[in-house]
Amino acid sequence: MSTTGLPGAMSTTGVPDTAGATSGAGGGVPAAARRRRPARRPGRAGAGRAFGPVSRTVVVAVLAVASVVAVGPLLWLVSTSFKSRGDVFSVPPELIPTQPTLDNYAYVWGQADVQRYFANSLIVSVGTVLLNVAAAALLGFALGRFRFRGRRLLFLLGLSTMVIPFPAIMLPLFIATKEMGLTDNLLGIIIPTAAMNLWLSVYILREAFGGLPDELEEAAVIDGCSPARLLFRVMLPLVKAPLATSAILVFTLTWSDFLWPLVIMRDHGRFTISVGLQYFMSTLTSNWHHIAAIAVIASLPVVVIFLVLQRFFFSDVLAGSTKG
Amino acid sequence: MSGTALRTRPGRAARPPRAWRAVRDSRWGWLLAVPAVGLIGGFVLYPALNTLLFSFTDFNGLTPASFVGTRQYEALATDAVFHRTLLNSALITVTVTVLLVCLPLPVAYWIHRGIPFRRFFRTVLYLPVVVPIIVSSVAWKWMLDDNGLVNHVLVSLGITREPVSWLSDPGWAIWSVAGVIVWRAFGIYLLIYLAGLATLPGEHFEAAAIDGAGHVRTFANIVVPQLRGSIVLSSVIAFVAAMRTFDEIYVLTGGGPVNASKNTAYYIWESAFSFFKFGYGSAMAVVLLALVLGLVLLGLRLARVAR
Amino acid sequence: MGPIKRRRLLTGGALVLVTAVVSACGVFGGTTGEPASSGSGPVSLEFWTINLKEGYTPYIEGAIRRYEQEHAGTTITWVDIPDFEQTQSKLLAAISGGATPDVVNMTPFILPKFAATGTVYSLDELAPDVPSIAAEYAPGLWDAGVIGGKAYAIPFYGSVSALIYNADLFREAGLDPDKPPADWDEVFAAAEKIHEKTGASGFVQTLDDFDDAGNPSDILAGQAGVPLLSDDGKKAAFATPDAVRHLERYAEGVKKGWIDRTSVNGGVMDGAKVLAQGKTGMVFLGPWILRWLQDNTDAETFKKFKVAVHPKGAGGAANGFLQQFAVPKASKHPKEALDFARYFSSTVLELAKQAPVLPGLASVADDPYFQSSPEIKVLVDQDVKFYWPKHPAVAELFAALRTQFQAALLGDKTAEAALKDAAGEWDRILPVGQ
Repeated sequence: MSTTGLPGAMSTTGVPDTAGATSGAGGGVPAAARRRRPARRPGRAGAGRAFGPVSRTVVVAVLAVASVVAVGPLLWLVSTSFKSRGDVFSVPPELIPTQPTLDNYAYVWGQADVQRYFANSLIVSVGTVLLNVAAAALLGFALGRFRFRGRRLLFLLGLSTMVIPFPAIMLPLFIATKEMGLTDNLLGIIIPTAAMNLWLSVYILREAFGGLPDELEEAAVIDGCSPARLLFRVMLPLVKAPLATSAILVFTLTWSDFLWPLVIMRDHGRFTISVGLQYFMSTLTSNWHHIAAIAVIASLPVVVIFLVLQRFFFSDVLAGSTKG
Repeated sequence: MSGTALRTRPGRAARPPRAWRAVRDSRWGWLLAVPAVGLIGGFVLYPALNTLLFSFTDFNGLTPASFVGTRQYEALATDAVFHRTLLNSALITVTVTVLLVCLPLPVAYWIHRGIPFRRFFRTVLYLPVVVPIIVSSVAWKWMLDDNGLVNHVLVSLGITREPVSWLSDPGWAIWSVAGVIVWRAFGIYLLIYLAGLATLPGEHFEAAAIDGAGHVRTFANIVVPQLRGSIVLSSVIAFVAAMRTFDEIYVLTGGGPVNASKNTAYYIWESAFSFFKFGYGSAMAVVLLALVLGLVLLGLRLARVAR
Repeated sequence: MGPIKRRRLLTGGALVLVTAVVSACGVFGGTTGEPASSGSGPVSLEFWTINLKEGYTPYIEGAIRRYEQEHAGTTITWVDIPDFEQTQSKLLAAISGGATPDVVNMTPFILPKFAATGTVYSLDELAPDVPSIAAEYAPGLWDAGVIGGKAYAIPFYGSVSALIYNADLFREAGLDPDKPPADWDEVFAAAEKIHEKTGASGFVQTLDDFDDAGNPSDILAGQAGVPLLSDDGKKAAFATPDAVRHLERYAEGVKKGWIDRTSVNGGVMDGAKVLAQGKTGMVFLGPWILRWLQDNTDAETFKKFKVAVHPKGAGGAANGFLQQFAVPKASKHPKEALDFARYFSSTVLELAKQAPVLPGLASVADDPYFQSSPEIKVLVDQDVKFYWPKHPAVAELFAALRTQFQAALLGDKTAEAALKDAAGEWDRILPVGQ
């Protein structure tokens, strides 16, 4: 039985016992995974009896309060987005609009550029995530599995860049980006943003790769596996959850960013939605029913990304990033 | 300490074959590092070095700069606002990091152990993350106003008698900023913990149940130690994000009143882009970075001594 | 890490640093050349406005199209920046990176720095007869762009602070809604009464930099009538007994609740929100806020709001704010840019018909349209003045003043100490910021 050891997540073959959840993609390990599948969900199977009636009620009550705090402001936004006008400032706010309308969405979406902002944001966020996670995965693999000289220094140097406040480097970054001819190009947002948040992903993925059992590496190498194959076919599928963590973090940060895209892009046609929505919320134009509608529109993709990516979190994938 | 730095788990059984060891001990790793190093070098380090350079000049963003030696640093030494912002940065960072590392932990445990409506809670608690910061911050600004919703609720529930000036009372402003950050980012950390918990085999909990361990003991003896990696990860992310706090201050308080909620990142922005003092702002960034690195290295050393 | 590696690291670091120096020479070398005299051939101009895209796009694009038709070979690229504060960031980055627009919408709040550093043209470098241009514009608005005797900007549109009040609250408090307060003693008295009878606050007066909204310079120079600077412009002159008395009233009002606490750290839109909620009696903003109130309240609520001339301060005129056009030095076609800026300022009537703003061109202000409704009339009926010092460090001066005002309003300091400390900071900043 493998679970006696503290690291806990290794089957006798040296393969993560939960790898089955990565299904087909998990190149080298499906047999072990399949064998262990029946035992996979005890944590949830025991759900019903994990909490007694009293503690269950208390916990649900606490979480309900937390949920109200969490979504209160958002419900206000959503309900405002269906209001025709007025009532925006009534205290207590009316949650159910008396005469709900879709006009705000029609208006906001009908502003020619909003669709373009939206498309730009999608391109920028997806591009940033791909670039960021790809570069971080390679380096994370190197830092987690290789023992080359200078690796610790490299890691610490990179990590220290994470605490530099963005305004401190914005101007030189602008000059550098412009010198590379990227001011009229979405790459001018993608590349610097991917770089600014690179070490978040590097940190997560280094931990993830470093946390994979050595036995996995040995087995693969004995089978004559090249480093590239080791990375792409054996290890990458096992760090899906950390990859998803990085992706969702970087996506969220990029999607919300407003200062850099505004500063670096020259014309409106290349603004992102976070910049574009400020047209609706700046001093002279802040009509809250419009702001609310565009805020909902601007939030939807992130909800979708979350719903899509969350299965990587909550299926019982081995998350290397979480191994002490 | 190097628990957070590099660690290669010692193989328990066979040592890796010689050929593989040759590869992994070689500089081959640098090849994999090329894209990342290129990105960070070109778009972070290179601008940061320029910033270092600016810090020895009187650069105003508009006209050619001249070197002024350490004059900017000398000015920082006597700038009370700067000192206040350092303190505020520390307060925000510590508060936000502690809350974001600790609060989501029991929630993740409850959800993982199958509390009713767990899927609902999981999604709902994540939702604040998805709304663009600038919008949710403006919504909060209005809710935290003296006449806003928060005060309305507090007063009508009898929790306070008078409305609290969340954003215009110097005693509250910084905590309001921290609270909004925690509100927004909570879901990210919940997610990290849930992802971590998903990797724990259920046998742990079954064994604990057989031993008759209650939730508190299970939580303390199994969840916390097993999630050590996730907790360190959360701490790093929260620390880094909190140090860089800018958007929330920009929208909520503008750093006021009387600089009560101004952190160093905001002051750098204000000095450079509002007051045209890039040299001065750059010097602040250098001092801030030096302080953080110094503290981190000191912490690592202390941790090593303690061990 | 051994000493050898450490040394190698240092060498590497030094190398990168040198590279950084070399490629930052744009910053250190000073690449601004002579005013490029424009030859013939196609001209393309980049034109920046602030915050006009949402709602005014047809007007701007139409005006640009007409210009392009009249000037064959000229193309205009229009960029609208969403936010006032961010205009400065974007402009700074653009100028440092050598990617400047040709015509840029500025405010008198940032113009002095650009003028002092020679990054925008003074108009006499571009046009032979500046006084005849000046004669076309409202003198008060034109003067806001004149720094050190030279004009740097073409006025586009402006606004004048007015009194916007809630007539229902006035009635409830036993005040005559048709006789709004006419000076600051009456404002304070009315505010006390409103607070006493209705529980709402009397007024909101925010301290932000939004220029027609009663920023600290207006409170001192406009309301209390004290000079901001000494005659030679080198010292702060506002720490007078009059100013202390006026600020003490503010502090008292905040303490007692007849001035809304939102004033301490809120922005103009927070003040507008409190008014929209019916929680305060008065705000002092340009009449453009009525459009916002109309869009964000129901018809019944909106009817309560009335507009009147700004209460008379000791300074004698209402505080104004202004949008103006300047031509950056890096423009390749500065003369054409000036021509376009002058043209665009002539289209302002179209803008004024959509939002109550004050035109820069004197002839436009004479249009009968500006007598057509109270919220428009209040713009042209008032004397307007720009109370802030035309100093390159004006933003820093204001930040210092605001901080001290906040301390006084919160009761951390006496009004006297706050003003004295603010004056001390001004005396430090004034010579440095030149």
